[in-house]
Amino acid sequence: MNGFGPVLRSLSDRLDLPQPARSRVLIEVAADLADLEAAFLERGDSPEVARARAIERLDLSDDAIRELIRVHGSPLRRGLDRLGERGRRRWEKIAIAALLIFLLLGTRALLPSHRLVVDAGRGIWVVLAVAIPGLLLAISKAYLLWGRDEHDPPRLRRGLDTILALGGLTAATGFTLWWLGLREAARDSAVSPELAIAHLLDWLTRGSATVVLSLQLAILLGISWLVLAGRTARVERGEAELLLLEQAETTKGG
Amino acid sequence: MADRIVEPQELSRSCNELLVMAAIARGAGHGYQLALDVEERSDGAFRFNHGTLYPILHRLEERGLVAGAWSDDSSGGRRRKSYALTRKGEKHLVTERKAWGEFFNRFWPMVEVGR
Repeated sequence: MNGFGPVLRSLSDRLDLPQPARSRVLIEVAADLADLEAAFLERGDSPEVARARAIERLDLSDDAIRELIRVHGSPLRRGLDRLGERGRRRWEKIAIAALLIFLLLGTRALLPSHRLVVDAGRGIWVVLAVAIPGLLLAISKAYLLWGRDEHDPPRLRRGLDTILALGGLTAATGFTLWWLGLREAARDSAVSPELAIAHLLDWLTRGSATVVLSLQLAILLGISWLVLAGRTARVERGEAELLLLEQAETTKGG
Repeated sequence: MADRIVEPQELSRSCNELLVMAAIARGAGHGYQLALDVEERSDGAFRFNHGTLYPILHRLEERGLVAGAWSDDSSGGRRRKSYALTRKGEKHLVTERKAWGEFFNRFWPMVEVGR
């Protein structure tokens, strides 16, 4: 805890940025102010002087604030961030509901005895090899967020985007196997033209099953990422708010 | 010959970005370390207020020249953001050094008097 409450509060008021961008800037500034204060203390300044000098070195001018707002104001980022707290919560709830419905409906399709998995053949193992690390990562993040109530943003953020990347890779793997299957079918048809229709039908059955399963897993990973990223952003914002609150109380107390 | 020459209208911005990127390349990672590195190496000739530093860092990050990563500070329990050059940033730094070299090669003859 330190005594930069008024500075951070003022910065928070002037920084017209949507969340969580504003919280991230505040957390970064708070850490640097603490570093500066510690450095001035080490050089022999009294705590009051060290704090005042740290604030002086911060000097976030109106131009600097404008530039920060411009940098963080890309259309995509603004579009996502400007959902607002209520909107974000609503989307989070919708995403969780979609995830549950998807799991309920999708469980049958994902069971090994189900036709789709059987039809997909050995290709499913390749798809699963890509998707399972993503699912395990998503489960571990969900456990951290809801099971252990973790409030450490760096720990929560670490590897989060890997879930999305693995989702994309899972879908890409499904499509690649689909094309490889077509190539195989074409080659087999060339060797035995009388069985061309059978080869093509076999490819259609196996290939479509592989693509459908890989897309299901990719959607599952995508929705998981959406829910986890939304929750993590709220934890980050809560962290910054706590920082401001702590410091406001310190100021009152001091 | 450099690939590009620094334009007079971008002197301040380009100079600040180059100073920050060079400090990051030397290993300074956090905002405070970056400001200190630049100030100490230049004997106080170049001094960044943190207010100036954040827009530069965030702009470089937006352009993909540096990558910011959050880390824990075990001693103070505070989260801090540290920066590292990306591959694109390393290449950009080389280009900018050359551009500034070329700029000074052309600039000094222009301001010399009495020859």
